[in-house]
Amino acid sequence: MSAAETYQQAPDTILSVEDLVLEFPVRDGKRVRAVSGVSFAIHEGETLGLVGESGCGKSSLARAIVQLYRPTSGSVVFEGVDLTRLNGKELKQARRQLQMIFQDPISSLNPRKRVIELVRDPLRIWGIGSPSEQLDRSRQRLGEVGIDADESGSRRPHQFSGGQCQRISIARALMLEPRLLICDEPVSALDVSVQAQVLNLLEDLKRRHGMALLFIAHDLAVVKNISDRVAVMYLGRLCEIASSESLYREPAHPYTVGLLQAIPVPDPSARQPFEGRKVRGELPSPLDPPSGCRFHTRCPFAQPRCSSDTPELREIAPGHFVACHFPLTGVHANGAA
Amino acid sequence: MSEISLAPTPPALPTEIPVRGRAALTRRQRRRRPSVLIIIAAVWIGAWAILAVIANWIPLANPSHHVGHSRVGPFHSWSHPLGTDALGRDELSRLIFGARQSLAVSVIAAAIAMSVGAIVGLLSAYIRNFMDVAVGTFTDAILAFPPLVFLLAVAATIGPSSTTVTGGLAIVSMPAFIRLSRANALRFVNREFVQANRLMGAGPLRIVFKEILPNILAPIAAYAVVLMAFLIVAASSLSYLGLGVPPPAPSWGAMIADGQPDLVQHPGLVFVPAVVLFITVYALNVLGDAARQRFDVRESAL
Amino acid sequence: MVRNALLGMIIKRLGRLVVLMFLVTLATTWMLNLVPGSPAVILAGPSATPSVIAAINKKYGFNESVLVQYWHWLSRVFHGDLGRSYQTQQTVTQALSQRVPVSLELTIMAGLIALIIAVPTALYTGYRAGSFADRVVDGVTSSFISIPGFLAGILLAYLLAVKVHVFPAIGWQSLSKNPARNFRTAVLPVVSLSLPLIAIFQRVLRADVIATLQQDYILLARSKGLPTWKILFRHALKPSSFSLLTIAGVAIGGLIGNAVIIEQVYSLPGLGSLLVSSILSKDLVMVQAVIAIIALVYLVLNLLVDIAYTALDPRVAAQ
Repeated sequence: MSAAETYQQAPDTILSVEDLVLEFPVRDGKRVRAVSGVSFAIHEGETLGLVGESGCGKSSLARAIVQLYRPTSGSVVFEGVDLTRLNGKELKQARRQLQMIFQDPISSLNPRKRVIELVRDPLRIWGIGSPSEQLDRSRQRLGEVGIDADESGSRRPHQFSGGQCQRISIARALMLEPRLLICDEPVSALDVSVQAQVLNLLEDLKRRHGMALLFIAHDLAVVKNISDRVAVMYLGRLCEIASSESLYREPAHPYTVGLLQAIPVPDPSARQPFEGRKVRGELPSPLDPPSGCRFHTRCPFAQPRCSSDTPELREIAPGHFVACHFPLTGVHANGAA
Repeated sequence: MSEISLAPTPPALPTEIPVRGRAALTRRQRRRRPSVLIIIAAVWIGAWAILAVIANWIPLANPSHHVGHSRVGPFHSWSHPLGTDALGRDELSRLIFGARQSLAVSVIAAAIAMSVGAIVGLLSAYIRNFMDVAVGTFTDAILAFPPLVFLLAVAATIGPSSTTVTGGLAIVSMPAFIRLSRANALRFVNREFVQANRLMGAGPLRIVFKEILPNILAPIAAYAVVLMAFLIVAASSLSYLGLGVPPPAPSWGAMIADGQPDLVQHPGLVFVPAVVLFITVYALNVLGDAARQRFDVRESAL
Repeated sequence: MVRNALLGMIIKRLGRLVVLMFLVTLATTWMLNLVPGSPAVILAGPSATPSVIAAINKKYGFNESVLVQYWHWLSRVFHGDLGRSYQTQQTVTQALSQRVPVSLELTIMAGLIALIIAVPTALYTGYRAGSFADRVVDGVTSSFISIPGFLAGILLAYLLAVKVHVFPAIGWQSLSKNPARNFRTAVLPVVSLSLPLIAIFQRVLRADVIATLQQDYILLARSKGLPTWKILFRHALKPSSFSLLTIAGVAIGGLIGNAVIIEQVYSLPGLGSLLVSSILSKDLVMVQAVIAIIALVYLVLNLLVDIAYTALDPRVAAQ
């Protein structure tokens, strides 16, 4: 909690999410909490990486931020406006500069439309410029992402590869010149060789347009180079947020350490073993989440307290927040604190 | 099993067929009709459509007026190649103007049912909640009548006329379009491109009509072709019962009913329109199957 | 668990059926109010004096609102009184009791015959898919599907009653009075009714049989050396009959519609011809009762089909 409050004071905050809760009704009148009480902030021009296993609620979080799913409670303040209180026209206006690209590049593009029209749509919706200006700008943006509009602008999405489709989605998202771009696992569906190209493109465009990015991925390797700060999510809650450098060097949450261990390294012997202990088992059902610290069922260091008390995010080093009763400090993690 | 069109029931909805059966069928095993048959069917339907459209401009006898001796058999006279009926009216002319009647009724009914059904199904899929319940109750209520009984009820209420028949046919055909459109639209309403459009600021109307509708048109249009056979049969059945387009306007069903008392002495009066009606329905079924396979209606409806 | 799922579904569907019946009968009452021309005038004849018409309006409640009329109708129905025909003064219940057995006999016979012919044919053509026999059957069923009911009726009457005097062309003998004569009068209408059903059943079942025959347990049965007919009837038929059940609801709707027409073709004293003649003579009380009965039968049959489907569905059984 305290973390978010501090961030919100900062003048260059572009997005601040506070105590966000998102529930879905499921069968028999039950409700599942996809996101339960998440708080964080993103600064101007910053890239925040958000990492967690499939099913931990990170995509739901992204959609709750942009109000595709209306949050059950909590606030999402984008450029000083609380999006959760807005409806209709106000919301349309407020999230104009908040765009998103999705995991499935094929499904992100209407199969019936030509590429140039897809990219032009945002301008048409907002009535920006004359038709010829709209087309010019669309061609220009497509060029920026490496698609030749003259050659392939009149093709339809199925005639492109996944990577190319993702580029087209990016071009489309950029048309309204967003200040924050949320990327929901934008490279997970792509071949490894293409992943790097799309990542570089995003980096490049981010710098050129001065946007902030919320970059979601399911493993720490992908976000490592692109992120200024990284947040780790588990079963609808944040476990740890820190600067990229600090998180990779001194992970404090056992879950973060587990995720780091999952990254293949060129020389496995160089890795500090987790004292022989490993994260085990499967992600528990979000329908019936564990009590206390949600990670305790899989945590190699779990203590009795972990199953009764819920740990709050607290600052263990400047800018390094962790939600763990027994954070690993220096002892278990690599290197010295 | 793609050829389910029991007259007079609107063809079974593809959504009602479990996946299991189809999934195991490979393309090769699916019955494929020789394309020659499809071409012949298309030519036959096309020819009647053209005749129906230009009927006013070709030198035909007035179909409602007595033009000569009654019950002249077919191929007896050059001026009346298909003979005359019990009232001495020209059979060929009645056949062509009857085609005009049947085709107009069926095409207009299909167009109404398709456009209204597609939009209602689409909105039902996009809005869900109360809309879904309302639409579901409406379709259930219509489907509570066997289609022909519903048409009879309509004819009884408002009195037989081409408007009643067209309207009635449009209404009985609507539930199938609503379900087809809803089932197809449901596959798209949560797609990422729809979400992306909402973020870009697109309103519900734009999303429904410009993003989703173009994606569900093909299977809906294919079903409309399948439906045509049912509509022709239903319209002629009503005419046969004397509850279709009222006389003296010619219609195939009424021609057959009129000829029935003379069946023994003058079978041609029944069999000429009967054969034309049969071939037309057969041809429409062939085209409907082809359309359904081409756009794989079933696949997209699931 | 299976029981509960099935029971819950039956209760839910029964509730829906009741709601739909109210909707349907209310809709028919409303629709019959739309009939052009005052029913009182139709009843009393064109030369009736205004006072007579007023009296009739009062007697039948024609001046009341639709809802009040519906309420009266409904309360009478719950007392077993469906009204009295405007035309013949016969009570509606009496008319129905004469007509229903005829239509019932026709449709049940047609359904049975269709199954008896379609099931073995479908098993064989599914087993020998693509063979000459399969293609011949396909051609035949295509024509069965494309031939409108009244045409099939006329054609059969022409061939078997007019050209060859095997069966009577029109008329009906009730089953209770003379079973042998009843059979002779029933054959042609029943055959005409069954043609499209045969085609539908054969096609739907054939497609499923082809899919079923590719399952491993069929291969196992074959490897055990079971005779083909046994494999087809014992092992392939049941798992292949789901689509058949799914389509049954639609087929029943078509069957009822076709029965109306066929009764007309052969001048049979069934519900369908009663409906048509009541419509033509604007006998609205009768029309309303017949439509309500048909809708009720249709909805109940569809409910039974759904119950059978749920009861047989392995996905429900697996719960």
